[in-house]
Amino acid sequence: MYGGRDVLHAAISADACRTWRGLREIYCDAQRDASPPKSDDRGTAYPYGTFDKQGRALVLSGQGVGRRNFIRFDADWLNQTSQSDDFSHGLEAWHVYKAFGPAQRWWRDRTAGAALAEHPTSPDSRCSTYAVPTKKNRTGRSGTSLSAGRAR
Amino acid sequence: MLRIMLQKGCGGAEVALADRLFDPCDDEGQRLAVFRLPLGASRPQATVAKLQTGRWHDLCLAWDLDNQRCDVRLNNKPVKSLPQSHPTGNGLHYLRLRSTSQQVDPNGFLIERVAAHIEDPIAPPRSVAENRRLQQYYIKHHGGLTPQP
Repeated sequence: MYGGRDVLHAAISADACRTWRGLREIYCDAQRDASPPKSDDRGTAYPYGTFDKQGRALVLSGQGVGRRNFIRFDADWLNQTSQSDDFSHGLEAWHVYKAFGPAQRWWRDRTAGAALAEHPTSPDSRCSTYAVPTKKNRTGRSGTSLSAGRAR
Repeated sequence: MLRIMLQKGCGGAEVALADRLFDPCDDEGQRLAVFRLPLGASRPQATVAKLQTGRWHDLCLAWDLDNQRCDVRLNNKPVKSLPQSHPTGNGLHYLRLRSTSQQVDPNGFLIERVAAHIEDPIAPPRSVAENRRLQQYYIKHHGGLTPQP
């Protein structure tokens, strides 16, 4: 089953499109943990991009109510080679949605799978927990993913 | 590198590295991951490494796509060299973490932090023929596609 075009990636080339670097997420649907609309468009697709005078990338993308967004980022961000997360910003860098219930063509109910939890040994920190805690979630095992950028 | 703790009673976990985004709960995302590392607190859950529950473990995965291997270190000790399961054109992009429990697992596992670093960030050039072979591989091995409206 196809996903919901939940993420838009970008890559950059310095040799006339012979090789690419970056391939990083530039736009994640903020509503991706919730059940999508049963009709009308959704997702992050159909980007229009350009650069401003300072060399920053400007992208207009997304479909559906609340999903069409203007994105601006430093193109050099695509050249970075490290990424880390300690959950101090919650789960915003992670994809934790999971499907449940019957699929109807491309549509299926969604909810968040993994969640933040109290750190068992460090009260000032948080960590993420991966479990199958509710009946609602039984139809799909919990899962999550984090984009780490291209790596070879 | 990730820091992981299996809670007491955890029904199993899997860490995988993928070259593209799949829905987190999509089984295809595990099946088509480039490297897979099953973890558990007991056999046969732990097909690679047995993790003691209730304590933090440092898990490091160092992949080398030229040699099609991923070396696994647990608490700074080598435990396994994983074979590459599928080819990839642009390298690895996603860390996937999943419960592998077949039952409701109220305990699961915890992740404290994750860090990734890559040495060579440039995807290698591919010819038209190489692109076509890779696309055919994706089509052949990716089952159950539903047409997008």
